[in-house]
Amino acid sequence: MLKYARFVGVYVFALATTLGIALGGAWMWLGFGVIYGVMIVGDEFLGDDYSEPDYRHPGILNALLYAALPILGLMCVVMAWMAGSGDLFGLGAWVQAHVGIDMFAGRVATGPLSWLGAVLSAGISFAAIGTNIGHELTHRTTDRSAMFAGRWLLALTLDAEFSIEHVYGHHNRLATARDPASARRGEQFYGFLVRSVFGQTRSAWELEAGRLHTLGLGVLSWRNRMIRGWLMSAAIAAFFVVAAGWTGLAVFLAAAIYGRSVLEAVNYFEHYGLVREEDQPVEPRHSWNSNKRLSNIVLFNLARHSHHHAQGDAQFWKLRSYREAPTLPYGYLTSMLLVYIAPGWYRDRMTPLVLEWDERYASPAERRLAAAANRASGLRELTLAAGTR
Amino acid sequence: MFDFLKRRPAAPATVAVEPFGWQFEVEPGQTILQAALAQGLPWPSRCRVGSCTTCRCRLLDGKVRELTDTSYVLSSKQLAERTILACQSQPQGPVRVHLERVRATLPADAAGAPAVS
Repeated sequence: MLKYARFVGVYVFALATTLGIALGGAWMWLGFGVIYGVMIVGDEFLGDDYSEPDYRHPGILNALLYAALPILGLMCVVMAWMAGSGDLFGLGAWVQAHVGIDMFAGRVATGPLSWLGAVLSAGISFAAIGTNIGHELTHRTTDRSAMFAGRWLLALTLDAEFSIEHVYGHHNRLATARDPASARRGEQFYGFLVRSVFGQTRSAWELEAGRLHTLGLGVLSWRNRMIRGWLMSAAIAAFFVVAAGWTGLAVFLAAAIYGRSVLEAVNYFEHYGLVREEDQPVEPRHSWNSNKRLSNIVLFNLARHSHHHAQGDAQFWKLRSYREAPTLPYGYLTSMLLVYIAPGWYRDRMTPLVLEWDERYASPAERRLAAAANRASGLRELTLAAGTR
Repeated sequence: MFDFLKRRPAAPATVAVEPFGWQFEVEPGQTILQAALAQGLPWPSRCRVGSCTTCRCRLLDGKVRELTDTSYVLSSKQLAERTILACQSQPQGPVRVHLERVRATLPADAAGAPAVS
């Protein structure tokens, strides 16, 4: 049963986040602290996991995915309650009577610094649970229940259009210059963040407009899935406004934007510096892979990224380890934290790995593309390597 | 709703490919492309998630279950001609398709770069 139960892991983090926010004050940092602390230490000491168990009851695993929606919904309600002033839904009184937590006192003890903790805790939860599971579900493009749940999960980070751009854009253009979500050699995280967000939004719009055109529908119609996605995010924002006024809105938007930036941090290192000819198949070598045990437990095997891109329709429980694929130096949360606080250092840390990729994995045509990317990177070590070829 | 509760067909389905005269079996849950590549057939393909349309073919006979919304990637003319994507189509019973061309070059992994799988 452990092979099923392990995937409950991420909800322990959600519980810590929600509990911390409900307690108020410095406790609002609990989720952030627990998620980063456990993940970074866990990835370092629990090592790799190459196991590929057979799952005979995918229904259990699907239930775990769909659970994200009510769990994050509850987190939002608690956060809106703490940002407001009344007793929204009678939640405060109920929790006091049945759980024994005094949310009223917690609210009084909460200042701006505590709210920063709440925003970071909720933001990382929106990304690790909302975006990640939304990604898994929205790959099932013809399953209406999966698309419904997945797009609402993505709407928490103002990004329901990820369900369009990721599947029809990113999976197609991966590791080529035309993909906004693949980081180029020499590119730093914060520059990539801006390019990726705008590039993906534009690409999603073009894809959606093209689809509507194909079907003979107007671009500005209720069938436009991008507009519908924005309305979903607007509905969540409206809930925060009604429940907790402008403070509520500010708290939600801050968590959503931070959550979105977390996605971009992950996008950044998942394909950093890799190249591919546009007319060649996507192979496992076109993604940075990780078999870190804890990253894969918490993120539903997202780190087994080489197989995901080689076979995008495979559900998470079918993803194989591909231990020979190009491998990230650290687990997912560690990489993410480093990308934020030391973007230049992380980029340079990848330089020898990228050069090794050229030697060990690249096809002859990719070596030529890589040499051009090295010359354009602006990094001394890469430029020198390009010169010696 | 709740597509994941639906039962999949239990028997393999036969796919016939014009004009090459290929014939192969597709296991339940497998796509046409997966089965073709497993047979070693030179079926053109690239992204394998239904976005590049390299593996497209025309459905002449039979029914398939499509895993992605092809209106994002195919033109209205192609849709009218019953173009499907082999990588996103699971046959529901025997199927006959028309494939325009085969893969021209060997895949990169066969051309010298180490394959990882």
